[in-house]
Order: sequence, then C-alpha cells, then structure tokens
Amino acid sequence: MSEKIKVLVQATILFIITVLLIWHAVNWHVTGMHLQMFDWIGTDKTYIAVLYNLGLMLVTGMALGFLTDRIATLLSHGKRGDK
Amino acid sequence: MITFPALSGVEINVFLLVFIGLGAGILSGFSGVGGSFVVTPALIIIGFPANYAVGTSLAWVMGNAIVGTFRHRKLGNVDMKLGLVIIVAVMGGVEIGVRIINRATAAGMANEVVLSISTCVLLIVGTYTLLESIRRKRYLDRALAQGAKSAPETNGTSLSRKLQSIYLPPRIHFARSGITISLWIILAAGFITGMIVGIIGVGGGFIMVPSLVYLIGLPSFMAVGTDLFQIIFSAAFGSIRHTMSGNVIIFASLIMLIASSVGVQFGALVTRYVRGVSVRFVLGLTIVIAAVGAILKLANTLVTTTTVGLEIGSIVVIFSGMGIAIVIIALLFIMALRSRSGHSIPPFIKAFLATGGSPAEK
Repeated sequence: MSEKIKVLVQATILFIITVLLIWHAVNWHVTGMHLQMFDWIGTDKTYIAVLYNLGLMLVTGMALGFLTDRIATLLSHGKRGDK
Repeated sequence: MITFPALSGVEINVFLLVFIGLGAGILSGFSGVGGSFVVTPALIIIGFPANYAVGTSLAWVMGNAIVGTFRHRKLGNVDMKLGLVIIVAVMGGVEIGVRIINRATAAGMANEVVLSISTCVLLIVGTYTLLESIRRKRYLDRALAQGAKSAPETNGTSLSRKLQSIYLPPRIHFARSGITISLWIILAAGFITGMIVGIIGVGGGFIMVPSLVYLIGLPSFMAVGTDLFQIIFSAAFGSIRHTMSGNVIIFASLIMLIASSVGVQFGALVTRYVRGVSVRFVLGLTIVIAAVGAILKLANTLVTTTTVGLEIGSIVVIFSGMGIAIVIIALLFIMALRSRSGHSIPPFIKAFLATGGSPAEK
C-alpha cells in the first residue's frame, strides 16, 4: 500500500470517528442525557460527569488533531506530486 | 438559536459559538494562546453567566490545545520536557484560582472579579508585548534597509539572559529550546499563570507565551508550541475542577472545538511564513483590544443601570479585536506568498516575514 493510500485510509477512519463523536454528543444533548449528567454533579455520581467531560474533549481533540494532521499530509503529498 | 437545559432561560446563537471557536482557533494556532482570554468574555457577552463561561471555556481550551499541539509538534515547536516542568507549578496555581472564583460566585461577585482581574492582566501583558514587538520591528526595518539579507540573530531578551544567569540550583538544561535556567524561575512563572487560569478561566497562554519569551528566553515559535502543550494539562485540571463545581456546558465546548480545529490549522500554517516578531505583535494587539472590551464590560457591570452603549461597545470591541487579529494573520500569509513568488510587497511588511524556508529567528 503506498504512503498516500495509507494516509487516505487513516484520514477516512478518523473522519468516521469524528462524525460518530459529533452524532453522539448531539444525540445526548437532544435526549437530555447531558442535563441528567449535569444534575449528577454534587451527588455520588459526580465522577461520571467529570470523566465524561474530560473524555469527550480528550478523544474529540485527539481525533480532530490526527484528522487535520492526516489531511495536511495528504495535501502536501498532492503538492509534491508524490506517488 | 440553541438552548442549554442547564442554563434555564438562556438562548445562544450557535453561529456565534462557531465564529468564536473559529476565530479563537486561528489565534491559538498562530500565537500559542489558548484562546480563552477572548472566548471567556465573548461567552459572557452572548449570555453565559460568568462561572459557566469560565468553565465551558476551559473545557474547550483543553480540546483546542490538543489539536494545536499535534500541529506544532510536527513543525518542531514543542519542548515537552520544559512543558512538563511548567505543568507541575501551573496545577498548584489553578487549584488556588478555582477556589477564589468559587468564593466570588458564592458572594455574587463572580462577574466583577473575573472582569477586573482580566482587565488588569490583559492591559499589562498586552501593552508590554505590543511595545516590545514594535521596537523589534523597527530594529529589523533598519537592519533590512541597510541591506541585511536575514534578520540579526538574538538569544533571548536582556531580562531572560539575566534570569538564565542566576545561579539558583537546581538548574535544568532544555536541549530542544537550547536554554539552561533555574527550576525555581520556571516554577514561579507557572504558578502565577496557573492561578490566573483558575480565576479568569483562560488557558494562560497570553501570560505564558510572553513569559516563555521575555523571562525564560525561548524563541517565539518554540514558546507557542510548548505553551499549547502545557495548556492541555492545566486546562484539563481546571476543567475537572470546574466540572465538579457544575460550571461546564460540554455541548457548547464541543461546538467551539469543532470550529476551532479548522482555525488552528490555518494559524499554525502561517507561522511557517512569518518571523517571531509577527506573533508577538498580533498577540500584543489582540490582548490590548480584549482589555478595552473587558473595561467596557466591567464599567457596564459596575454602573447601577445597564447602559446600552457600554454593552454594545464591549461586544463590538471584543469581536472586532478577534476580527482584526484574524485579518492581520491572513494578510501576513498573503504577503508572504506574494513575496516568495517574486511579487512586490509594501516595505513595512518585510520585517514581519520570514526569509526562505522556516522562520528561525525571533
């Protein structure tokens, strides 16, 4: 598999992951799950809200970071005319 | 418009959230700031209560800093060893800062405390950074006018050289940045930054980047990347504390993160085409404009009756400041491309642009 194809596959997978993360967040916002977790703060379930917020930002940041990095690599491949 | 159930009675324009995220992302990628010194007051202005603006902004900063660090690491601008050392001190400062803001919230004074401290810090840091960058640019203009083909090299500011020469063990050598300095100086800078982070909900970049450049003596681009790296941890810690206090609207943070991830890429790309003085000039200008907006907002908060002029003025100034900075960054990019393709550019722009491949000098 050439380098460019490999990068394209990685970018595609990361794009799918990012879309799934966004869909998940929108879904939980609309169904009220975010509000329910917000109400857990101050109870014995506070740790769930903390871990969720931290995890969502961490995973989304990494997915977006990798994805944009792969896209930048693809674009620079195209510019150099690499095979 | 979008509503957040945790904020009853508050409707937010989602396009404003996207615009704030995009603009802050460009600024973040270019100048290494977390972006939240613009985002926090912007969120307050569009309707978030102060404590929610602080917490939501910090959560966004963490995600945005991850995206920015990926990009800058690829550009060779991240000194992880230095970043990890600073993080330890920043964490301690953030904890103290969060406790202060929670006390202010309980006393019903959160808006006044956040805006007052924001204003003072923004004014001092912004003015110093702006004036220094203007002085440096004039020096570069003279050097280039005398026919120098590249900018004269500098090894930090006179203050940073003095601080590096202080023999206060333990001293640590940072090979990637090329500096050796007392651990205590780094810890002091980190602690103060962390405290401000916890109080006013910024990532600390607008304080840390100038500190890394003017006090510790890092090259500007290394300061940008290293700062974004340490912001991940300080913002994560602050975000955890603010979540535990119920101050984070995570869906709003996510909306801004998606927009800012695009902006960060563009901002980081432009750094390859400009000198370090450009970064400091844009940073200083943005901070000063943000300070003016914060002053207007504070004035509006302190007067007994709401003054429409002050309210609108603060909105116009803060959003204009972000817009002006983005326009300058875009113009620098366009001028750099024109210069490299052999077209003429205004002479006063030349000192801002890097010559040849990568911008190495300050």
